Amino acid sequence: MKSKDEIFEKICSFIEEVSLGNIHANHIKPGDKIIVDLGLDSLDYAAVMLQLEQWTGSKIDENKVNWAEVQSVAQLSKLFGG
Amino acid sequence: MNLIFEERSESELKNQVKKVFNAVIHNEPYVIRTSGTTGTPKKISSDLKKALEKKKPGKHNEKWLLTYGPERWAGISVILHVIKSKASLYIPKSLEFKEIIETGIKYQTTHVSMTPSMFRSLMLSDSEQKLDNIPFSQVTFGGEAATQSVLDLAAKIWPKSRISHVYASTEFGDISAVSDGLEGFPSYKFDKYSFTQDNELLVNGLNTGDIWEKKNERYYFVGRKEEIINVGGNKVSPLKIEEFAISKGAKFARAFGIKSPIMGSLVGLEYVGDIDEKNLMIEYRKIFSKFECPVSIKRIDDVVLTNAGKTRRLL
Repeated sequence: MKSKDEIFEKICSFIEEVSLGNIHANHIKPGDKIIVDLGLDSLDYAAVMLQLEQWTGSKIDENKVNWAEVQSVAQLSKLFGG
Repeated sequence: MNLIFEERSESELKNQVKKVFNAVIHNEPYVIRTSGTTGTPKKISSDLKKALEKKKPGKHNEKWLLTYGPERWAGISVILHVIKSKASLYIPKSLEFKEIIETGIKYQTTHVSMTPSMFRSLMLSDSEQKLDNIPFSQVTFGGEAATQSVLDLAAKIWPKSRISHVYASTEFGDISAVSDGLEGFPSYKFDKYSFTQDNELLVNGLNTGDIWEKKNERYYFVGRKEEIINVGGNKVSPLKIEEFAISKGAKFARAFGIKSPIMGSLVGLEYVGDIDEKNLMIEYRKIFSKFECPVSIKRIDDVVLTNAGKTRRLL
C-alpha cells in the first residue's frame, strides 16, 4: 500500500515526465487542477493515469469514476488510495 | 530434391519436415495451422498435392534455408517449392535464430523466405555480424509488411540479392509480390480487388482484415484491423510507430494498444536498442500528432515473436 505522500509525489513526477519537463514536479500543489491549472490535455491526463495504474498495479474501472470529481492532483491521488 | 538435416538424431523439426514430405509423396491430407488472417488461429486441412501442382518451379540448384516451422503454411510453401524445383532444403537443428544463421553459413544457402520480424531477430542474434557470409541471391519477406527500413537493410547486407516482398494469406494464397526495393505495392497490382469504407481490402468479396492506405499510386499496409490502435477515436497504425523507432536507432520495435479509462486506448512501445527512452519520446513528439505518440516507452532486452514469426501486437 502506497502512502498519500508517495502517491502525490509520483503523480507530480509523472506530470513532469508527460509535459517533457515543462512543468516542474516541485511547483505542483495538491489543489492544482490538472487540465485547467497545469495546462495538460486529456491525452496527457490519460498518460498520467496509465503510469499510475502501472505503478500501483491497480486498474481503474471507468464506469465507477465521476471524472468531474477527479480534476485536481489531490483528487487523482485519492482515486489511487492516497 | 535434397533434404539436408543439420540434426543427425531425431528432432521435432526433423519429424515435422518429414511429415510434410510424406504427405506430398503419399498424397495424404495435411492439417496446418493458420496465423489467423481472417480471425483467430485455426487448423485447416490442406491438399498438399494440389498445392504442389499450383507451384511454379524454381531452379534445381537453389539452396533453401528453412526458417519457418513446417506446421504452418509459410514453412510448407517453402518445402513444396523445393520439391517442385528439385532443389535442396537445409534444415537447422532448431529454429533458434543462431542455429538458422549457422546452417546458412555452413551450407552457403542461396534462398530464404522470412518475416520482417524474423529478419530483425536474426540481426539481433548475429553478434559477430556473420549474416553477410550467407550468399543469398533471393530474399523474400512475407507474413508481415516489409517496411522500407527492412528492405534497405536487407539490400545492404546482401547487395547482390534480389529482395522481394509478398502479400499473401493461407486463405487467399498469393495476393501480390514485388521486387522493386520499395515498401508497399504498385496500385495496379490491386486493381482487381476492392476496399471497404474503412479501407479494408476485400479479395473476391471476402474481408481480409487488413487495412491499406493509397499514396502516390502505391498501396501501403496500415495494419491488421484488430491491431489498429484507437486513441479517443483517432486511428493509429502500429507499423508507422515501430518504423519511426527503428529510424531512430532501435533494432526492433513493437507498438501496441494499452487500455485507458479516459481515451479508450493509448499507444505503448517496446524496443530493443541503445536510444534512451526519454529521448525517443521527445523525438516522437517532434514528428507525430500527440495521439500517435507512445505514452509508455520501454526498452527491452529480448524479442518474443508469435509462433508464426511475427511481431506480437495484441496483448
